[in-house]
Amino acid sequence: MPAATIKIRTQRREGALTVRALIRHPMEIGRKLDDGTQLKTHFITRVVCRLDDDVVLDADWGGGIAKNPYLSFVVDGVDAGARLTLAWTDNQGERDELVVTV
Amino acid sequence: MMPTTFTRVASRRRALVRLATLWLAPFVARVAHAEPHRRPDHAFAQKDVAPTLRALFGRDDIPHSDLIRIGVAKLAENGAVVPVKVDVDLPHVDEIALIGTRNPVPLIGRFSFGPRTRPFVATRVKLAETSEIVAVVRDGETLLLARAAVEVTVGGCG
Repeated sequence: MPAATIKIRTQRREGALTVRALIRHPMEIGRKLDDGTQLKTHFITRVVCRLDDDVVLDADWGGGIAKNPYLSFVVDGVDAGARLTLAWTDNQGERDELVVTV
Repeated sequence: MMPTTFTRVASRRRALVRLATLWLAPFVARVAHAEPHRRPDHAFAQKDVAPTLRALFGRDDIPHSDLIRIGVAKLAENGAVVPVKVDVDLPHVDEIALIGTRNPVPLIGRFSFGPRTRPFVATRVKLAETSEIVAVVRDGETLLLARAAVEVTVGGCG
């Protein structure tokens, strides 16, 4: 994986952690361009988010998620210093992961 | 000399293997007990909403509920990027599925929540044309559904 594909912003208020993530990814469903070029399907199929060792969000995606996906969710009862991991995998076997400390 | 060394190495190897087995056992047991993740490939292969619901949840007669709020603009100029959020008035849900009723692949995604994760998700989806976003919520055996109409100016068949 070349440059980092994941950006995460977190905000913790009274133990409730809001996660906002942006992933750089084409999310291509295999369109045929006007010039006849057939694009290969290339989209994220799974995103797993963990807080320390607990899975807090596990998503199965299709090509219906917009290009450069945005994902936001909220987790309760999160202590400061917890480690948040976001990992994605796509249909071409590429993957990336980012760990941030809350 | 030679056979002795051999035997000693062999027995040491056996001991190491035994030790490794003991050490790994708890991990193996844990993995075996955890429910394996299965991507709903069959649901992603469906072309219409009802078969998608049957593939995901085993039924398509899911009752409508006002507990589910879909936040989406009524008019989307660009179908390639439609911000959507789903919020459920329940303490917890197991999963939320998002469907675009007239997309070539209606199932957009399925989001499964951990016990501490609120029944809320926000993302951006593609809508091929003017259609509806359907949010299906599952908590245990309970299934609920809500719909939101979106008028799309430029289709996002991307």
